[in-house]
Amino acid sequence: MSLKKNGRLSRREMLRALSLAAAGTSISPWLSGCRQALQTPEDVERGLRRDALDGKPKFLIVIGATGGASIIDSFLAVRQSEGGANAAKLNTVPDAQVQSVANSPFRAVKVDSPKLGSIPVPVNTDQLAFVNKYKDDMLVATSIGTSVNHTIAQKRAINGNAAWKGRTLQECVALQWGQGFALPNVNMSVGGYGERGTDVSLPASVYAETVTSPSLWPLGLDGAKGIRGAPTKDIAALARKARNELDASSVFGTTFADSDAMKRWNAQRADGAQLEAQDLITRLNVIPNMPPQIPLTQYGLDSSPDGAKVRAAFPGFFDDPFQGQAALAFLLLKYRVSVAVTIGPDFNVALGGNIGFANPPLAFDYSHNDHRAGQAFMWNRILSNVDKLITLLKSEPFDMATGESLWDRTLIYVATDFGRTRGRPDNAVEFGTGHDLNNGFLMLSPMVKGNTVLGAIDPLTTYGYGFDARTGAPQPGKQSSNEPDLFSGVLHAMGADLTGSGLPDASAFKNG
Amino acid sequence: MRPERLALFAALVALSSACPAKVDPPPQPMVMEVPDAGPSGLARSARGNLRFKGPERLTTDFATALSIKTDEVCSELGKYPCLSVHNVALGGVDPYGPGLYEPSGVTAVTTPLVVERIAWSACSQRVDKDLVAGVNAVVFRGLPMTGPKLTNPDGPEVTAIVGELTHRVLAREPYTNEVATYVKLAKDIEATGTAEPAREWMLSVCFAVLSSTEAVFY
Repeated sequence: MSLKKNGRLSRREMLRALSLAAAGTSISPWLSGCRQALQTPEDVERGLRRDALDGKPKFLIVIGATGGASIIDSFLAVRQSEGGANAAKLNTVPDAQVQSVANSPFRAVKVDSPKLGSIPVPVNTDQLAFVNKYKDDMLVATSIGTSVNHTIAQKRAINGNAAWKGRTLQECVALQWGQGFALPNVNMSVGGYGERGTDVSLPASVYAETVTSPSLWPLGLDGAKGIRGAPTKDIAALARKARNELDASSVFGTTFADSDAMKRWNAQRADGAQLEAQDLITRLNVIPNMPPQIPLTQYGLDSSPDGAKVRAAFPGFFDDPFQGQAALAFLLLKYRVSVAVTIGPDFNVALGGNIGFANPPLAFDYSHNDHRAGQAFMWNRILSNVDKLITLLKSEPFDMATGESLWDRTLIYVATDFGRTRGRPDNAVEFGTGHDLNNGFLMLSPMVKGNTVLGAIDPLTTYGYGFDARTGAPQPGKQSSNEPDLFSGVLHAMGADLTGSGLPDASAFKNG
Repeated sequence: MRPERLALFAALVALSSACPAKVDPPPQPMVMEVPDAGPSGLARSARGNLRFKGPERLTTDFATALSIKTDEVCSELGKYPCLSVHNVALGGVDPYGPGLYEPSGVTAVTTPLVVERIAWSACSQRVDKDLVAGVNAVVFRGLPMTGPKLTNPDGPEVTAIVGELTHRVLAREPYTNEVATYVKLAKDIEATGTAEPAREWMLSVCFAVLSSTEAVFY
């Protein structure tokens, strides 16, 4: 694929996208012009007019903080001295470990523990540097969920509890900005974060392509390259042509011509040729040539031109799935393959990294065993990879004319399952917690209203309360579910066209 | 010509001269006429309930059809089994990693490419084994060659090979248009000027049959 310097698609790619759009009359109701024509004066007055679809994509990275990332163990931590009479029995944090952030409503937690539950690895983490660096692009919103089942809660974190016909955020973004992209929606995450939405009316292209092995998955982006003994490209093309002609006229092909599976397969064969034409087997290939372990060149393959850069950022890309996913996520955005990418740690142990241990069993849910050290370890894992991702995205020009970087067009949504129960034995430092509906979500982007907390925490209970999604005004005592507000907030911040969605106005999330 | 291919053909020539015994091609197939499409001929299935074979069935079918071991069918970089690397793209599940407990039920954008990789790999295994196997060749046997070329692309031996592959992969006789297309494919390949037209035809016809919709759906 050839990209113009302003980050737009080349004329050839645009023609392809236009031809698809022309053919896809069934998706016309979603096209911007149609939607804007449907806006009522009330919508306009209330600020529901969305950014024009200017042909320039926006990108969403969803990070599934698997297991339940507690917001009061990070940016909304409560100091023990603020907790009143019950402070010793609640998950408050010693004052010295809760750091204020200058000119910001956020806080940052510092934890030093000689071990992680029963795992003999030290936990020495400090969130302050991250918050200082990114506070202007950070928004934290308190949340009340509706499930403490991991898979269900994960899914509701990405579909707002079926806020818009059951579509996931990633599907909405793929629908809005994914036209002309080879794989608009790629999902590498787990459980409910990896599930597709339930709106079956969407075009097939917006449903996620599932990736479970990010380092090796790009090898499947070419039908023959890298297969020992396979013929040259021109011979392979002759073989495909012969096969396709016979398929179209065969008894089997004729009999099942009306089958959905057959139609999908034929369309996917054509899409596959587009993947090959972009040489994604090379461009997305993070792994280096390291014979004899990884003999790329012996198989006629090469590492990505950006391979060294992403490997430097994510040195554990091969052994730590989360790092491998983050590396691939960057390349998928850089090469305009995808507009929505979902990544996140899984529930399994991963070894590697500075202390030889990358992921505890159950990820954030290790809090059942050791809440404070588990949360600190996992938050550090999330924020470390977010930092590296943002650094890479900032280094990548998007539009030379406007000076935008890829980061300027990207929103990172740190989704999580739920919060954690607040109780602990008196003044315990090591304690276990369960699942709780009350929590909060982190979003990062130049598109969100930065340095902002929507809602707040009552320090006497450590529970959060809600806010008005349109104005951002806190609403003390509000404990009703706000899943649709959060769903809508991501899309509002990105400037998605929500006409006809029925979603609440969540203008409070948007920058400007 | 690549050095390893040169060595392969040298070995083949040496074996040919050392073992002058004639190798019989597979038996001639009963080539069928293609039925007419339309009201008087083929009817379109109203339900059309096709299923993609999925990783295990596909791999096993390819291995069985070509008489190779399942673990020989395909590996990435010679180390990572395609069945494992591309399991989910082929419609498989992965419960212990990402918690994928159920197959998606639909093919993915990358599925056709992955099927092709597996088909090329499996065919390459079979063709290269047969090229050095002489009288013990399993599929591609009795095919007269002049150097690296097919002696007669229109000959009955070519039809026999097409029949053998169709029997093995699709469990039926070939149609006339299939034989004609694969004969033409042999000529088209030779016209490209490739150094190994016979081998590449064997690979290509094997690939075309293995990756056909009839072979990957049921």
